[in-house]
Amino acid sequence: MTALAAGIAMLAGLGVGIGIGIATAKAAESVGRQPEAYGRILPLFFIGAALAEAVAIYSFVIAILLVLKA
Amino acid sequence: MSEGVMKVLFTIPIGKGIPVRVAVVEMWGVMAFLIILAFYLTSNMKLVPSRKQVIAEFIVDSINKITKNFLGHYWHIFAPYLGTLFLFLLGLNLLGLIGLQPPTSNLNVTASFGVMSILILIVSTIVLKNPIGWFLSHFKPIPIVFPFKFLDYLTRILSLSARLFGNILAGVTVMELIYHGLIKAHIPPVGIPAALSLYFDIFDGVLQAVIFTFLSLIYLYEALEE
Repeated sequence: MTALAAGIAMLAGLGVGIGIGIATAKAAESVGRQPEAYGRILPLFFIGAALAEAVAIYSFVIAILLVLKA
Repeated sequence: MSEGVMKVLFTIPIGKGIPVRVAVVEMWGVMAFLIILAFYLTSNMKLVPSRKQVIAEFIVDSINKITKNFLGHYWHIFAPYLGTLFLFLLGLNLLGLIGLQPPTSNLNVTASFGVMSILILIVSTIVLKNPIGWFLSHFKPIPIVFPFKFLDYLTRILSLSARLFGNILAGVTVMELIYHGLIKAHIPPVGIPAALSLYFDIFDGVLQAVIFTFLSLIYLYEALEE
């Protein structure tokens, strides 16, 4: 049952994947519009991706805790 | 797999004995490699650079250029730390190529890296900005937001360390599964693991080292900008 719970916990990856995909698409689009703003867009994109990825990492940590507890 | 890099290799007989684990010895190895490489690349430097001096100059120049872009006139304080962090993490993550388990696949190792980056962030903002202003910035825009601003530091440590740990551990686990599965199916493990190792060991290791360094840099950039 703990393995099943770990699998359910990792379902958070669905939303995170879609979110980072949208963020990357928008970043690429804005670089295409204004290539000289690349240096400003890159840190913003990295901060956003890091904040989004934190959610996936929380679920991953919970899954690891569940699996290694058994 | 459960013990992995935390297996006690030997104990230093001081007092009750200090256990020296596999991860520590691997990190000593990478440190020794980096130090020897630095001494070799920077020995007898000339005005007209030789081939090895060009390599050293390229590494140092690229790190300096990136930090100069982001940190403005504070760059000379943080460039050595960030460059060393990047090279060290790169060496640790690529240990999987020579048959060792990378030490970064253990949460204890990566948590120390995360704590180090955030400590440098806090100390440098206190030293380079005025301490009172730094303390009061936790109460803007309204005082009720203070606990969330404080929690932000812990969240950054957790996300930095767990990202590196999770990615490297996933790569190590997948490679182990591939080897065991191929041996179980009586297929000689030649060729297929090499192609997959390109992604799971090299690409993932380099990418995670880059992301860790870049996020430390961006946190500093956020905290130090006027």
